[in-house]
Amino acid sequence: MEFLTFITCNVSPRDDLLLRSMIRLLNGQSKRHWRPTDHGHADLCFQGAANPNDTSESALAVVAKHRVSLVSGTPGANEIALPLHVGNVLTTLNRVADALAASALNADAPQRAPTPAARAQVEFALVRWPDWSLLQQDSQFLRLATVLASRSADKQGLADRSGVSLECCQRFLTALAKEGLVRAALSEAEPPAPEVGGSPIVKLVAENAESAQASLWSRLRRRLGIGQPTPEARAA
Amino acid sequence: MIERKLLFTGATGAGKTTAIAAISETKMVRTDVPNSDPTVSKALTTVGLDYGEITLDNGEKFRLFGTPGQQRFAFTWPILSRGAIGLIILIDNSAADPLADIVTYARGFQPLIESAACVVGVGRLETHVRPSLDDHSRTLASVGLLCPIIPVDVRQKADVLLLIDILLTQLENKR
Repeated sequence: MEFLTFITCNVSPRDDLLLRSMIRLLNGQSKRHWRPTDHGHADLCFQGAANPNDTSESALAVVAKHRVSLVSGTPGANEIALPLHVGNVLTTLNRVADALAASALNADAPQRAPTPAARAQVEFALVRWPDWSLLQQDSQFLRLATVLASRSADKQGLADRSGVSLECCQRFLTALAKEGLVRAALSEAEPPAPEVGGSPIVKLVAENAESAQASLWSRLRRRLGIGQPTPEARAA
Repeated sequence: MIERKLLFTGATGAGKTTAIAAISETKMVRTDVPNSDPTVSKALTTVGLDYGEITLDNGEKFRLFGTPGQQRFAFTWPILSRGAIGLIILIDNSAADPLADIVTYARGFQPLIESAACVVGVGRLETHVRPSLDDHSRTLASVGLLCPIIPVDVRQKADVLLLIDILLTQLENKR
């Protein structure tokens, strides 16, 4: 598959990680497939201001056909606003892809495999409840919105908890992004479960209470004849 | 014994009594009296609580409470909230100010909403399209809350069940 490349320059580690993760997620939705490169030659360079005095050889050696600056205020032409927003990143990627195609400058730059950082997860959170017209685009969107309203999740987590396919989750997140209804953030490691007392009996009581809750939801569903519990509830 | 209960709230005429009656297996305990509020076009109104029950397959009773619609009974809301698994807010879109109503109940039950789960059902949208569901969503967001908001006709049992389905889905997915 023919793809375009991007690189980051003077972008803070956090935004660098976020950008890479967002672009990986958006692949398939964006007009062209994008891959990161660290080689110094790229179709697109995201230019930050994290270290404006960076005169290192690698920073100076970046040659890009297009540059987009990350700015804190209102973005102008060839700028993208911080904090990064999935919808804005998608718009930028498509705009640059169009420009490259128009100027016939879409030759591929040298490639490298994504860095380990690029494999970090991005979690998505609803900004507010979507309009009914969006939820009616797909019969699963109401369920996905409900799950995402309960807690933020990465794409795989959303699919796991809702029992809805990854492809449908992707469509849902893209629809949300277009309306500015989703916020992306780097996922933090799950904190270890708090210790519930030292006694095995206390722990057992706590586990039983949690299990009883899940069991109550299941019994209510059975009694009322509604829906199917999520995979997690079924396992409980 | 642990009391299991679900709350229905909303302004007078929003359909709390009807919603509970749609799913309660016992005869509803109603505390309706002749309506003395000329601004509300209904003959009877609830001045106390509506109460219904569902018996689960282990014999446990699950209780359904409808709060009084009038804000002067707001002092009962924290009391009723104790031990509730969640809250269903019903909004009558033909009311004078439905957006003010949603703010009233969202704020009044905020501790329950944040600790448990909540879903908002907006009725009479077919005849009163404004405010839109998106307007309701923006209003909730303005008070820092995010809850599912769907159109409902609580005379339809399926709509009441959908509200409960959404509520349970939230509970199953809470951290």
